[in-house]
Amino acid sequence: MKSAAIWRRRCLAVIVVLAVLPGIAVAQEYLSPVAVAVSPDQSALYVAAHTGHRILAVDLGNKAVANTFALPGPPTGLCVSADGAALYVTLGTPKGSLLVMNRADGAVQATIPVGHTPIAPVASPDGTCIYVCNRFDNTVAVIDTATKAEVAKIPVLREPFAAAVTPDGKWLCVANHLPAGASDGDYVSAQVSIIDTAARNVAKNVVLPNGSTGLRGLAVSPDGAYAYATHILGRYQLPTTQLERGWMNTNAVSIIDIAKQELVNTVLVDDVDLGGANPWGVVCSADGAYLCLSHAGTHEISVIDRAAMHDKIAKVAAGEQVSEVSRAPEDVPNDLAFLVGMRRRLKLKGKGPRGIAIAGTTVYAAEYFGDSVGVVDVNPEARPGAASIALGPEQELSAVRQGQVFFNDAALCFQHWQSCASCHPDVRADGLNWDLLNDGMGNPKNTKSLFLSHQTPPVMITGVRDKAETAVRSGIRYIQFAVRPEEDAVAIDEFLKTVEAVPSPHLLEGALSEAAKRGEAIFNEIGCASCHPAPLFTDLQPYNVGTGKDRESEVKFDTPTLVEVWRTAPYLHDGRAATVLDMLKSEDSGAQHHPTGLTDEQLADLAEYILSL
Amino acid sequence: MTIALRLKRVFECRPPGMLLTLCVMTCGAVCVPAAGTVAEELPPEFNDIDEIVFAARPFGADFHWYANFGYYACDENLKAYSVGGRLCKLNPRTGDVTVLVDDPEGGVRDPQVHYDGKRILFSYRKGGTDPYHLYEINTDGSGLRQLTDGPYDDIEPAYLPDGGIVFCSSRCKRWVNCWLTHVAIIYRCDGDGKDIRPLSANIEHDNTPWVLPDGRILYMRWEYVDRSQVDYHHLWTMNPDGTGQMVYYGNMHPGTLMIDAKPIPGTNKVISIFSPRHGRRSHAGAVTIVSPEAGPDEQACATQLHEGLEFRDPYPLSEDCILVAHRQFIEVMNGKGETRRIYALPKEFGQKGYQCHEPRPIISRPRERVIPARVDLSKETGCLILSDVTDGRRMDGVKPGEITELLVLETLPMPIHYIGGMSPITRGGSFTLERVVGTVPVEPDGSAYMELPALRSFFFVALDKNRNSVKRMQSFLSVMPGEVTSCVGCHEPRTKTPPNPGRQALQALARPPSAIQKLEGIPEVYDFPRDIQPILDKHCVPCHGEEKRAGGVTLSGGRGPEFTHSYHTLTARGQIADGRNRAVSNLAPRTIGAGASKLMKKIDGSHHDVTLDTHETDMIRYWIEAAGTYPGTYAALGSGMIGHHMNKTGGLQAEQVIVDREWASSKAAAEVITRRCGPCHNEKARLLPRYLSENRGPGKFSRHLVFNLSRPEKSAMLLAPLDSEAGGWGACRKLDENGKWAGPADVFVNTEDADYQAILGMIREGKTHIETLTRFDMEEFRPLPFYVREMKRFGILGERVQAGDVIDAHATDLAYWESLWWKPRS
Repeated sequence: MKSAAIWRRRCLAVIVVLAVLPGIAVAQEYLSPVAVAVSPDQSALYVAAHTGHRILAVDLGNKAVANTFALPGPPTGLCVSADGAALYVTLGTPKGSLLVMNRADGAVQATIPVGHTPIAPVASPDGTCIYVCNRFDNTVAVIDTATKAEVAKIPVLREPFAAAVTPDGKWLCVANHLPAGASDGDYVSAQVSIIDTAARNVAKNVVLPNGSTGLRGLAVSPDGAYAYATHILGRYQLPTTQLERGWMNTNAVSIIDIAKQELVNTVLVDDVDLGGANPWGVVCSADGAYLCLSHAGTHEISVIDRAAMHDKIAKVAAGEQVSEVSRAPEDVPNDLAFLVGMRRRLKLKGKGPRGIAIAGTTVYAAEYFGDSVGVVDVNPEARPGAASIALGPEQELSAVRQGQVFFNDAALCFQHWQSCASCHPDVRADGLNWDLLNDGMGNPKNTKSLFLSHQTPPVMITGVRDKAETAVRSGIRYIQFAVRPEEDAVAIDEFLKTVEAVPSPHLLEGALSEAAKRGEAIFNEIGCASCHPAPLFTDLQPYNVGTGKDRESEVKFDTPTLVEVWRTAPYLHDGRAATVLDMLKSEDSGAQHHPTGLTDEQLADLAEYILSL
Repeated sequence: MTIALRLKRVFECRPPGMLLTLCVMTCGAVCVPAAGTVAEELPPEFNDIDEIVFAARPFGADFHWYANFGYYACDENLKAYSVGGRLCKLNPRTGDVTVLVDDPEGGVRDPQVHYDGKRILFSYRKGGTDPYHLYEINTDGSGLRQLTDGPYDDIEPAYLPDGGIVFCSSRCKRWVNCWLTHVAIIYRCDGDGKDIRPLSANIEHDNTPWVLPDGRILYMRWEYVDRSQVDYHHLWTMNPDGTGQMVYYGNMHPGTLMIDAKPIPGTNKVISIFSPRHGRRSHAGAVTIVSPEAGPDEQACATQLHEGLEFRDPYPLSEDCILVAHRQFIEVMNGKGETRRIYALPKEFGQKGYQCHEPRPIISRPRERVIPARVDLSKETGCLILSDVTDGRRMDGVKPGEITELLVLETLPMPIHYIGGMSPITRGGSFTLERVVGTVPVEPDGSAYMELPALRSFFFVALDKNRNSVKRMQSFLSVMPGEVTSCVGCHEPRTKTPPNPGRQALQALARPPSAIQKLEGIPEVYDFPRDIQPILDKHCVPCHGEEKRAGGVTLSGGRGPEFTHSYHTLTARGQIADGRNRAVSNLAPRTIGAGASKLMKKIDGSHHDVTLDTHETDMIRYWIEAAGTYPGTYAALGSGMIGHHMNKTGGLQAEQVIVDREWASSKAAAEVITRRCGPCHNEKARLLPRYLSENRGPGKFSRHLVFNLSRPEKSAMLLAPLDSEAGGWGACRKLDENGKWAGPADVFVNTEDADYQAILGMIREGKTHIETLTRFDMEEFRPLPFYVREMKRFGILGERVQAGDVIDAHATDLAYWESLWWKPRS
């Protein structure tokens, strides 16, 4: 009970400044724009300032902030209503809401409760409803714009993060941020859910290439034929010996044929010796000529000649060898030169572009760390290059903020292939198993969340690093293949130490459910708490819990914290258990994690408690 | 320089409109405009540039791009370097020139300006001395200091962002495999010249290392593993600790020397000289922009800026502004290849043959990224992971699981060389001896994980379960001490990122790295007369000897003037599928190596009753895989032969010594061959060699087949025309009036024939001659003095060893190679 009490206090403390996207509390003076939307007449741009808790209206005539609408929480996304009159804004809190605001003056006309950490509001073309991704509920809410009430909740797979609807309104495509399921199999990937809006259910989950994770953006072509999802494509089944040629993470756009509900192909948005880390927002120009995406890690906009790309994809599908690598469709996701000649990389002024919008040939990008909006004309004839519209006064970066910048910035990395955030999105985990060299090779392990890592030494699954500070420096050296000043590592430490927990979606009003309370008793009674004692839910000790295989059968694994374990699936060192309940029920989990003598109901209660931490 | 300062300079010191002042005489220098041009403002890229450093020196005499230091093989007093050098700096606006170093007897080359813009690193050969060494000098001309020393040449230095220096050096103790000069490969040292260590294991030249913005070193690697020696010198990259060696551009496209490459500021492109074919003197060629994004093999990504091939040493200030050396001038080239002359050497230097070289702006510049070291210098080995051996180009038809082992071969450095060809290492194939190191297993999923000795040049042959070669690598790789690196497969396109194999981990990673398993009973370095001939003697010579000659084929070990009959026969008749000296590589599966060799069919039990045991078969198999070489020592080069023997000094290209044509016996024999044989052997297909040294006629009548210097009476030149009653073959036929063959010619009725005796006399003298010279396969082998000189210089042979001593050359070579191995540091 004590732990739950502590937990509730923590939640209360956090909830005010909760930075919903990554569950990160940062100083409020930063605006941290995450999403942008252009007014139908293209005269104004609306910017969701995440940690700034406001919407900024930018006059696109004089390219200056014209208006500021304060919000009661952190906005995660926004869209303009079909008639242009209203702004729909998601407030990303555990008790999330959708705000309906008057576009002219920002007056809040309605606050509609939705799920945990809503994001990516999408207006149906006919204006009758708004779709909202409830990120940590793994659902999509359907809001009736007339009644301003939720009319449906559609389960999707895992952390729906971005969505787009076809112009005819029939299909809503939703990007599931992370792979769902165990990670020790031969194929692990996140998926795109295609929702039949009339039936209000998922018609198809489209599986992306093996290693796809970190989906951040989704766009639908103006003709409604294709959906484009931006994501990371991890080469996780190979040892992390190097970065050259995309040996660890590559960065990709997956193209989905909406009518056929199948993956057309996946193209890489890196170059052979220059990564394009962490693709995020994606849009199509209204005429369909360009597909544009932001690279949050490399501070760029990629502009793809859409017709040329589709033509090349069609040719390879028809059996033509279209490049040295791409002889067959399955080669395309491994072809670092596929887009050569049909993609331009435009450098932005500000750092950390996330959501983007396009008006004509001008792309606007929410520059998260620049507190600015990047503006760049994607017309190949355009001069000069990108500009930035400042959204507020320029500020010194605190050490914590600087650390967050570094954590997300692939410019730290050799050839810009990845940032810390590539494997640790929002400081947590990408759902993949990686074969790091620090504990030998051939023994891949599930990525750990870095949340509480500084508070729970040693770190890494084998505890091979004595503390998180060491791991941060090792990560810079052995994963990013970079030499950085000590102060950069210190800043990353400072940032990581400030990361706050996101309350579990399993809590009811911030408190344990009845089932979880029963589970808590079992947790203490059967000895889980001896290794996983509150408040950190780890005793910081290594044990052989019988899960190591072959060469690792005698290896001790560091006891991980269980705080936030609800969002770090899959479980055990190699991600063999898709859910906590799977883990508890499977003999393959080792004696300590497979309690015997409990009924199914008791196991479910225990799981519910663990997932509430 | 801060932005503010830069602006100040631009607006205060260099007001727009200030014109280039021409024709200012300083220090004897003349700054001239290009003919017909008017004074023009320098491009804005020059706004920050007050001075340009450059070297002035004559071209050397040698036409090879690399042969510009050290001495020639047959005469250490014949130098490859040119004499006379100056290090100068030019004010591009006034034309003023300041001479920083002036050494009329020395040599100056390869200046590079430090990141701080305050000092210049360059390579300097002091007048009266031989080796080039690295020096630094302050840009004001003060503080000249020597960084490296010793008896070897250090050239082409570049500052590293980690404070070190990368450069090329002949400390590697090896010679060009197809020329008569030293090799320099990449080394690094600390900023003060200390702690020198190799980053490359190339057996041929590396040149012009330069750091890319991402921290890698871009350089030219020349290599020819079982392929043309004059076609593969392309752009490669390595990390500043030597790890991660990887092709950057061009390796699949033979026929261009790509050199002097440097990144173009603000782009991901590089500028390079593309010097056609095997390159031109002093790297002259076409200024070419290379864009890497479509990968190393996309020719469309190289844009030559201009016509003509006389430009050198481009230094890009931008894509549209490139400093370049052009004969006796320094010029500025724009993106269209149009040039403007900004400096001409004074006449008196022009008359001495001086040229402008390596113009580089004296400005501060940002350090490139530092890549953390991945080496552990205390280790002897590095590890290589191969994810799927079947993943690659031209792996047509190779099925998963088909490859079960990799044969590891090593291409071996050469301690001396005398000619442009490969003889007698092979007959038209490899220039290089190849060591059979052993094998490593390939798992059913195509993966391999192996531990390789560091800093040696390895290459692989993929073997199937019958140990037949499926695919051969015709390049080399090396790992650095402690390096752990991965590759995808065999020859996969370099724009391919590794695919996830579809299982959690590669099967090869389930256990520790495989040490290379030596092949039991197989020599590491083959010697054909020693290792292969006994097998031929046992199984082949009974039918294919000098007497029986079944099918007209001789596989006896009789010594020809250079090769044995057997070696000549096997190679000339295409019995071994080795990599010829051709500009083709990445050959299709099972088209090269033992598996593709006709000889293996002859010994597989299907050829009459020939049956070899497993060991004998393997001996033949791995000899073919190791390039089917003839001698087992480099001491054989130029030695113990008639036609390719070197025994005198002098001449830029050491001449092959052709002493035999001066012998009275040779003159007599040649007269006989001309008179008696010439009337019928009068067409190209039937020409006969008239001398032991004469390369004339097709394979069947090769001098290596018709002259037997082991048993002169068994020479085909004698037996073929000799009547069979007299013990000959009676093989010669008459030609009738219609040009048809008709009846025996009965050239020599018996051995008493004076003409027979004349030919025999020449062959006997040849026998005596090579027994005096001694050949590598003779017990009393005495290597050439040049070999002995270099082996003493390399510390392999003791000071007391003299030229003309009997030396175990095989053991000496082994000791030489071993001396080059990486020695772990504590």
